[in-house]
Amino acid sequence: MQSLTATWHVVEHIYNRLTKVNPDLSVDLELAESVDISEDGLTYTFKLHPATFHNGRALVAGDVVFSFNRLVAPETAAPAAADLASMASVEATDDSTVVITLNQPDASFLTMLSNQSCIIIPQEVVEENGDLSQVAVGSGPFKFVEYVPNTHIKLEKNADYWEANVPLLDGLELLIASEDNSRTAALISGTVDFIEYVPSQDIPILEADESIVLAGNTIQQIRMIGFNLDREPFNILEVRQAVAMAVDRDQIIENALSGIGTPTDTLFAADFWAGLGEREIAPPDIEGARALLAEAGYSDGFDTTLTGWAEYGYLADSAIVVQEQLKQIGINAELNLLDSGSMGQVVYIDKDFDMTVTGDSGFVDPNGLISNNFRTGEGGNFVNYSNPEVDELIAQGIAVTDQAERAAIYQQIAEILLVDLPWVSLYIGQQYEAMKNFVQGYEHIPTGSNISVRQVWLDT
Amino acid sequence: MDQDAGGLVPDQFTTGSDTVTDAGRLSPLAASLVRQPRRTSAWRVVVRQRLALTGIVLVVFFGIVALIGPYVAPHGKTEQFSGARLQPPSRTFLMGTDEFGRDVFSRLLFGARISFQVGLIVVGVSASIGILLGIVAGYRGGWTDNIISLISDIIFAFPAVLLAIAVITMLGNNLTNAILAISLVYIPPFVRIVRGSTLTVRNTAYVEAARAVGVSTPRMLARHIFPNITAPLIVQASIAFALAILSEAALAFLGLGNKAPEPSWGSMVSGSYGYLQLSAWPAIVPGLAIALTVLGFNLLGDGLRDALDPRLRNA
Repeated sequence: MQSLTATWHVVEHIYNRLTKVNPDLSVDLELAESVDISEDGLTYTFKLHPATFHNGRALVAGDVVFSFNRLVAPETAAPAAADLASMASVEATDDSTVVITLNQPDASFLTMLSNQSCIIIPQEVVEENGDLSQVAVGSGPFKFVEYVPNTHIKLEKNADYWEANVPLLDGLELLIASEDNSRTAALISGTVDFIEYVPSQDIPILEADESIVLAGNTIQQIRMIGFNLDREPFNILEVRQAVAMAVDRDQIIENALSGIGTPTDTLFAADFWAGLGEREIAPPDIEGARALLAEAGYSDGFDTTLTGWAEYGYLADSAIVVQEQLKQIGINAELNLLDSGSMGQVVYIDKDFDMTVTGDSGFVDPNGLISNNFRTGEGGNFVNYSNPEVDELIAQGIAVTDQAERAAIYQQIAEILLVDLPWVSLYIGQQYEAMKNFVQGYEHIPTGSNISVRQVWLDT
Repeated sequence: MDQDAGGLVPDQFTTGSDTVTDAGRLSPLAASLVRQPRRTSAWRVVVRQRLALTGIVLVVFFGIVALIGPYVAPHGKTEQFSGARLQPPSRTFLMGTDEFGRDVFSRLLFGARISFQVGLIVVGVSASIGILLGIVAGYRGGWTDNIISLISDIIFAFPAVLLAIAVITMLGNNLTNAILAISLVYIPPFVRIVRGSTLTVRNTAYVEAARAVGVSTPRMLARHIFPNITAPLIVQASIAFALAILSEAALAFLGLGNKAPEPSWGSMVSGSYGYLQLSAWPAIVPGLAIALTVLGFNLLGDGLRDALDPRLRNA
């Protein structure tokens, strides 16, 4: 398990959210028993399941109000506050009814509520401890037992869980193994029964092992080269176009992903409803790229830096391939591979980089990816992209609810981004979980979410 | 060189003695302190031992590789060949290719230079500092000795790689800082050895004599003490060289020091060991190179120790 995603999955096991995402990417209710959306799309009325927190107190509508208000409160400074950007107010009309009013219709609102940030937390526990960094009391299928930093997290079954017939396991022990090989080795040797983020070079090895089953496929993700648009020379369109022309996506997928991935030059997979569909990707054109660089005044190329993730092997390797490919057009990029903490700080907060090989994943609604990465001034907009036309389209995209209409808007945005090139899309990866064959009932969810662990049982 | 002659018939070697190194120069300690009925050249003692000879051959071989490697490498050190990933050795790729389709042989040649650079700089830096501190501590004694020995013991108490990781974390992760960190780690052994030898030499009659005629301290250390403590130093230097190469490889394996995609032997192993089941070449080749180089320096060190230690001279 990667250390960054470990947090996410622990959150999923311990807490509940109002909605959840199914393996087919449809949005479903979790803690909410029913939802009633007003004609104008501005009022959402949720009825809650009768649930109990791990400390024994019943979960009431007031907890939802507290949780959501805390998330958006400026003093919380939550990076994910944008998830509830369209929420105007939230109130509890009785113990099991929550009414949320939006400031504008938002077609992606129910999807946004399935994000990990929108978990329901008990007010008294937050107040007692200041925050939830040291304690974890939720209403989810598993209770927190202990956390040993960089080693493991222990969870036990919540015997009073409100959903019928789950969880089936008595407990979970999540081992933290950020090193690719150690995960595969741990599964093969039987130290663990389940691993996530199966390293792509190990897929053939695990497939050949009869005691192991793989689950997974394409994932809702995109990997790309992001440019710092505030810095020379990447503020020049021709330079970005030259980079786009020089990259050989097939070689990146071959070398960094052992061939397991789909090249793309746009945002979404070909079969995703909001995407541009099947596209012909132009093969690399080194001469053309050199000509563009010369046009921009860099006929001899230039020196720059390329920042990337050291702890995600495939992303580090992608950066190594990109660096080598850019040498062909005279761009000498010094490679800085950073640990995940530094990467978050340097690229996403300080924006102190020239080029980066990074990615985004886990989105269900296209708005999740597009507004976060491309809206002017948005927290996730690490490339400093700003285009009023795109901002306007993003607003339109959530204002209409008809999927065909929305698709047209997102396709328009994707076309604009192909012209502006704030980033060069590289590939959509595949993500696999692997487990021993006695692990039953697991379903891969393309967002990377692991909530189906609660339906898992062991057939031993 | 006739190996079977062994140490039993030293006379056999006298004919060639003029062409080889003069015994007094390589082994001043032995030459000046110990009077032996029949002197044998230290060089010849080394060569006579089969293991030591193996060490010399390995060291010289990899030294030459490091020197000329980059000029004779058939491919670029980071050049990626499309569709040629994880290939077994062939005529184009003598030792196969790694997970990026890069030529393992070329990377090995370039990597040798990094390893030897690390070895040379680390030994240079840690030996100079260690000698200076050790000789002052040993000669002056008293509180000077106490303080130097204390600091050196504190550094010595840390596990080498752990200390190096801490230093690199503080200074920033690059090869220069890794070399600095490894140098720091290997200062204490030099301090100890030099201090110990200085203590022995300090009270000899010729030092007393020099002091009696009013030789200044710096001159005393440089001209009378230092030349007489070089024997154990040479041994320590060759061992430190091996350890430095090994430490660099270990740090590179952990992702510290050498930066991807530059080919240091340690990072070559680190990058490719995840592909062992698909192709063992890219991890095993640099691994062997590290092992053989370190073995070479260790054997050389052992040989030198045997040769320079008067008690073992005629054994």
